[in-house]
Amino acid sequence: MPAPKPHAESDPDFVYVVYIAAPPEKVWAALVDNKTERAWWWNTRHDSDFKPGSSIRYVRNGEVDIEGEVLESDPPNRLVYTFRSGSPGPQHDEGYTQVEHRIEVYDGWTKLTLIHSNFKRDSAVRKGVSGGWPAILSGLKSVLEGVEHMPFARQGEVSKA
Amino acid sequence: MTAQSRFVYVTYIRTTPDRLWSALTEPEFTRLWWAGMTQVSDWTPGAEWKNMIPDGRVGDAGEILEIDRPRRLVLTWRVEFQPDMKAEGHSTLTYDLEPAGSSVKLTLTHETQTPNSKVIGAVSEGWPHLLASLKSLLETGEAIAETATWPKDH
Repeated sequence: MPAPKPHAESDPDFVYVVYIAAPPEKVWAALVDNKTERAWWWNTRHDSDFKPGSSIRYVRNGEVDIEGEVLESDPPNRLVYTFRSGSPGPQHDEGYTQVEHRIEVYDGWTKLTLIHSNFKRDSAVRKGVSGGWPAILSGLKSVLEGVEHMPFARQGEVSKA
Repeated sequence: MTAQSRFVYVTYIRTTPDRLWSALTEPEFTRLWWAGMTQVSDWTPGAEWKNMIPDGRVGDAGEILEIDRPRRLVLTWRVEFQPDMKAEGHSTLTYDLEPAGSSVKLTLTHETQTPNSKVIGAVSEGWPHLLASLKSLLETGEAIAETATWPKDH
């Protein structure tokens, strides 16, 4: 699958930068972990071998939250995949967006840049991921710095804790 | 009025709203993560606000617009130490703090009426680095070392 087809009228990319006190290899390993339910990602497991052309699925509570295809995988520098809501509804109907993680060394720390792109105009997907990514990547930073992750409710969901 | 240039950053920090408020405002905290800077203000609505560079220069200055510890702080911000950015006049900085489980959701909004603002361009690079340092400091006790000192070439 090629990169998603651009929309004629689009919302801006969502970009989020976080600096982490861990080497790039550890940040990469956390992003491509396909074994564990990630506490810092609302117990989502990522089902993929993270090779170009392979499928990727976010599985949560036995359901496919998100599905897509890996477009680029360059450990420990860059991971790109397509992204579409796995359940029927308006977000699924928006089609594929694109997620890119860039990992760079920055003064002994790691700079992780998330670029989520290819949103249609007035995208409900963009609204959702704008709330989700800061929470997910804040949690990733904590756990990679040795801080126990304490769950908090996902936006729009009642905490099950 | 809708801002012409705006930077918004959200981070979740495992701490309490009150401790985060202290870390955002009190010199013994800010000098550890905010380039050695210390803020001077009476922290009441209408009060003057200054952000002091360690060598004694005024880095940024403005006034407190809204203050509701530990939930919301709004202040005006003019860059004082760089003439091209000072010429842009005042921007507005807002911190919103909300409890999120045993963490705090911090939303920082820095905005201005200047289209293609140099100030907002500069702080868009700076805030993620500084707030990463602040988060690490509160969660692990260790800030990003290089954010603790004022950069030599500034």
